Amino acid sequence: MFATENKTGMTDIKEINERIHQESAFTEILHLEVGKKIIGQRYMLDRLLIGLLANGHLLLEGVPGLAKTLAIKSLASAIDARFSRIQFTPDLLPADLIGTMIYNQRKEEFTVRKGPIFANFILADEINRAPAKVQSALLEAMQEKQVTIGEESFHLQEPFLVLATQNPIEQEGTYPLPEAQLDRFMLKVVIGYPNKEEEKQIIRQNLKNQELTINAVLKKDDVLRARKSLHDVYMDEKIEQYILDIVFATRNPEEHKLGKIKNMISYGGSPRASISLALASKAYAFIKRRGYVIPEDVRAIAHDVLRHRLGLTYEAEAENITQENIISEILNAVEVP
Amino acid sequence: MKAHSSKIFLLLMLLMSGKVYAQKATASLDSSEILIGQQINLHLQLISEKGKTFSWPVLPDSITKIEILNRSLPDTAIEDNNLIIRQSILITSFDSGYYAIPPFRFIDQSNPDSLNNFIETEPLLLAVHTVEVDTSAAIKDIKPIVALPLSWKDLLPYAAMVLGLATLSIAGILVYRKYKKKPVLIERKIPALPAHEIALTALAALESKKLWQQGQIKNYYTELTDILRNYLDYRWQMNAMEMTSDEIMKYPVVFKLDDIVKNKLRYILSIADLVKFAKMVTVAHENEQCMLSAYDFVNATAARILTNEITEKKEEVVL
Repeated sequence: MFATENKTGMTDIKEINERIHQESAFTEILHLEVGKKIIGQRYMLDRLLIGLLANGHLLLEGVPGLAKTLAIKSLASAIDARFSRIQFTPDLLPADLIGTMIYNQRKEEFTVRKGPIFANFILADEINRAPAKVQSALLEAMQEKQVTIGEESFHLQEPFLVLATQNPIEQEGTYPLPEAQLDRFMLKVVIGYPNKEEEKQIIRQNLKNQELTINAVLKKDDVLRARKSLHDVYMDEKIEQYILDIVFATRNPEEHKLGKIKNMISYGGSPRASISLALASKAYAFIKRRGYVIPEDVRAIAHDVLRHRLGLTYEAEAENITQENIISEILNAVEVP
Repeated sequence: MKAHSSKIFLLLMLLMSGKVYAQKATASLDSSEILIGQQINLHLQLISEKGKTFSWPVLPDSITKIEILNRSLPDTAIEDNNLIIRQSILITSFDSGYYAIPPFRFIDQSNPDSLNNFIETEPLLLAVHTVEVDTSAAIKDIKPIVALPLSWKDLLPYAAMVLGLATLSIAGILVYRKYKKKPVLIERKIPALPAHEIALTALAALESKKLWQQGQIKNYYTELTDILRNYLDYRWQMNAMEMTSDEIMKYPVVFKLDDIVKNKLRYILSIADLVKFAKMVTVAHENEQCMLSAYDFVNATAARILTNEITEKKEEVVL
């Protein structure tokens, strides 16, 4: 059935598809291994993998007790990577995060003490509880993949994935992330409670007097190799156009038969939104073990990529219209190729 | 006999004198003694012959240290051909002592020049007592202000105000809800022809274009899926143009279709997705098969729904 176009010099999608199918097999193994400790939350784990593969960072929003820490810790264990958890508090300083210079009296010189950011997987818990200067230090490190302590710059280890959490309740005394910094997160994942059956399993698992250990089923190099393979996932021009249509609809909704939501959006997705949507769609196709992107991949990830990149007007807030509503309307209005 | 006659004469004289002095003014008090600040009524009454006119005394705001608080309107009555006028005056005093209320003079207006053209009431004496203070007892605080009991009359303006505001608010909400339109985000076009006719015509047009024969396989499948999506959109109003292949297949109306019909649509959409997004090059047989499947799908669903609708209508009639 596949009469590929390699004879005409074009990319052999069949070959890519088969290769991606093989190379992405580890995602299922990872799911199985992490699933030993994490029951349900497939949605969150998929997004963690997307962030890991697409070299992006995640902002996670959910009430406490949804296994956010456990998920990233388990993922780090399964990949044999270094994990670090930083609890953000109002008195946290940038040096507590990135490290500082310590004076060595014996040697009579300053030596570098690296901070907890020097890990592969960082859980920045309750990022909005720390003041802006600490948030900036983390976000700069996320962007530059390096930190400077004293006069020396240090590259952060690859893979480097930051999972920042925000608690949607208890907003008193917090420092909400500015829009410009929110944009640096590839995905904003909103997680909900597990269903009854999953929660029953969670209770049973916790009542067992048995310590479950996560084995390292993957190496860091495998992740880096998978990242390279991700670039080979084929994205047709039609899909690129579809991504652009969606992002442009957030900026100019009236051009996509959505004039009535124009007053609901104060600002739309940035070019970084387009890049993130394209990369995340490729990663989604990869974890679905496909060598090409289809519109389903774009739609599956669109909410996570766009929800923190849309600004709502007061009118929208008065009407109780959320970013989710706007994105759904856009997806329902933009023609699928 | 003589003595008897004189008695009768005397009685007649008395009766005649009553007629002669029919005009009479009286003033009386509810009580001749009051406590300081206590309120009582002073009653004025004038009895005059019918047709005579007397001027009513003009009462000042106070008579010595007696204060006039209120005056009733004069009340008139006719008894035995006499006109009786009564008025009650509410009085009080805030100073203890004995006060004389001078006579009230009623001047006959029919004979203003005469010296005896008036009649007067008797003077009255009002004793105003202060409250006796027991100096041997402890000093007591001033009594608090006595709150008058609330009546419906007092509450009525407030009740009316609250009711008015509530009515206005409800009316406002109802008007807002009535005129507030949910934003219609997508305006649907209603085709002039039946959906299947449009689709069949478009399929025939696509066939005649011979796109895949010219190597334009991607365009061929793009147009083919667009025709089917438009058909689904018009047939079941399901926004198929904005749905992915997977969403179309999971859409309830499509999902409930017969498996043979449904598989034809799935076949076309899956082949089309591979051509459009994975650069697949199909062979002639697949292209022809997809076109045939598209015709079959449109014909089957158009006929099928009509049959179902007729059956449903028949069932309704039987019921």
